[in-house]
Parts: sequence; structure tokens; C-alpha cells
Amino acid sequence: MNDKPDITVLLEEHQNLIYKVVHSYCPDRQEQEDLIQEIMLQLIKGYERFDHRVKVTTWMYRVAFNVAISHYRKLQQRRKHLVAMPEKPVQIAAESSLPSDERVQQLHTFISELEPLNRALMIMYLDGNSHAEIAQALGISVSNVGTKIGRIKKILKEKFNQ
Amino acid sequence: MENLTIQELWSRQEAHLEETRTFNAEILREVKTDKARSSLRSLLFLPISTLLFFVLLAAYAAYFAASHLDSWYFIFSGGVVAFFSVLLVVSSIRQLYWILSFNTAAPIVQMQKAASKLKLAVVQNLRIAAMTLPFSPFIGVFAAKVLLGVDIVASMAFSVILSFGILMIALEVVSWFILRALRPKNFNKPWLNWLLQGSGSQVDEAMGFLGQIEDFEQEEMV
Repeated sequence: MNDKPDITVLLEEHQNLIYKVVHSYCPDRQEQEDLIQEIMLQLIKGYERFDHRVKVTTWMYRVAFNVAISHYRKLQQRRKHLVAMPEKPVQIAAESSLPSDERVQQLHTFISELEPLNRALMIMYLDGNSHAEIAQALGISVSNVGTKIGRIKKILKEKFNQ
Repeated sequence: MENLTIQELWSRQEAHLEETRTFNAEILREVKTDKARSSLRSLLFLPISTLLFFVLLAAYAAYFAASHLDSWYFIFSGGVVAFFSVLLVVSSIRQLYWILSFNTAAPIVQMQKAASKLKLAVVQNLRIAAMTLPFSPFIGVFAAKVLLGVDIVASMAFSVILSFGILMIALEVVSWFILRALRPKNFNKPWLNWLLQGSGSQVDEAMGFLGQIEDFEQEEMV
């Protein structure tokens, strides 16, 4: 008998994990929806092969970050080739995707300014994952995770104090 | 700012995100995985077709060389074509390996490295193409014999053979310049971008990201 929980149950349970990853790598709302769907597609597709050698959330982080970072890299490439418009021809009063708290916005900005792999590391850390889980998801050593977290925390604190 | 506060702020963002999203599990149950499969299929087409073509060409060129043992230039021409075909076969096998081992569930550093290396495959193929340049007269001899059944060397005057020799030396220089130019600092230059069939900026990005990954993997000292 298959005792694996249904993937849709897992996705529902950990939907915020996906939202946070997407939100941190993709500022555009329309692009965010596409990225969420792509991550979910990859999770559904890969779930049958998932062997529980790592925690289910570690596996979900791996898939979400891999898809999001690849998407982010493509987006950066596309932006390089876009011609800058002098002014926005149309202003769309969309609902803000960020909380009104200025400091939360600041934190989001500072995290977005990190390099893609450091960003992944920090998101997992702030989500309360252990150093070992972060190391498993990223594929680096636990000691390296520890030193990197210390360094990034220092950078964030300095930015907040500026 | 204390670390606890950073984590509190992060949790507040999480709560907000939950409010602004709606999750529809019913729609998700109907998701088809065809889209993902077809994108993988299209990625596989080029290396598989390259692999098949050059395996056949390498085999035929080796047979050609072996069946013309009485003529040094046919042996050499067949050998050159077989050699470069084998290089392209190896390059295609490597590309196929990267594509087939493409797994979004792999550790992030490993998967992003594979994706970057795949983007750099075009450079490897261009290097092989540059290396063939000095041998192009011999490739021409091979092509004329195979496609038209003509032994062009036998019908050439000495002066023409001599000019082919000079051409080979000139192409050797061109090949050397191209191989030298295929360096990371040049990948974003327009002329190299053209040579890379418009993939120059992608290659540049892949090189840059590989550098970032290597830095990230390195153990840091506290």
C-alpha cells in the first residue's frame, strides 16, 4: 500500500514555502503566477520519484529554488535585451504585493539584493530550517552554511542600521 | 537589529502572502505534465540528431580511409573527418548526459551547475569547429570523393596544391585566433555573439553564474 500523502495535500500544507520562494525571486505579479504553476508542475511530476531520503520540505525547497533560480536567470537575461522606456505609458494601480510595514518591505528588499544562492540559503534559514537541512537542499557542507549565515546576518544588520 | 526581529519580520511577510494568495487544489488535480515532457523532448532533439549524424559520419569516414590505403591524402582526409566526428559525438554525449541528469530535485548547487554547463556546450562545439578550419582542404577532398566521386587532388596542378598548402597555414592562424578569442571576457562582444548564433550573452551569464556557484561552494573562514 502506498503510504505517501497525496501531493495536493502536501502542496496545500506547504503552499507558503512556494509563495515565499517565488516572491523572493520574481517581483512581477503575472510572472509570479506562471512561476508558481511551474514549481507546482515540477513538484507533481517529481513526487513519484521522491524517495524520502531527505525531508519532504527539503525536497520541496530544492525543486522550488531550482525552478525559481532558473527562471530568475532567464528573466535577468531578457531584461538585458529590453530597451528602457522613458516613462511608464500606463500606470496600473495594482494591489501592493507587500505588507505595509516599512521594515518588512526593507527586509524583502535586502533579501532580494542577495545573490541567488545566498538568497536561497537565507530564506531557508529564516523559515526555521536547521543548518543540516539547508546544507542538504543546497549541496554544500554544514559548516559552510553556518559561516555563510553569520556573514549574511551581519550584512543585513548593517543595512538595517544604515 | 537582532536576529529574532529579522525572523519576526519574515513571519509577518509570510502571513501577508498567505492572505493574498488563493490555492485551488481542485485545479491542481487536473494539471497535466505534458508541458514539462514536451520541453524536455525539444531539448533532446539537437544532441540526439547530432550524435546520430556524427556516429554515422565517423564510421563512414573510418571505412573510407581504410578502403583507400593506396592514397595518403584519402587516408588523411578520412582520418580527419572521423577524428572530428568522434569529438562531436563525445560533445553530444556530454550534452545528453547533462540534459538527462537534469533534475529539479537535485541539490541546488549541483542542478544550477548542470544548467550552466549546458549553456556552455555551444562554446565547446564552436571550439571543435575552429579546430577543423586548417583541415578544411582535406575535408573538401573527402566531400568531393564521397559526394561527386571525384579525386580532386589527382586533377590538380602543382601550383593549386601549393596554394592549398598556403591556405592551410592561413587557416591555422585564423583557427588559433578564434580559439584564443573564445575566452570568457569576450562572450558578450557582438562579433562573438554572432559566432555563437546569438547565444553569447547566455554563455556570458552561464560563465558568470558558474563563477558565483564556485565562490558559494568554497568554505568560508569565520
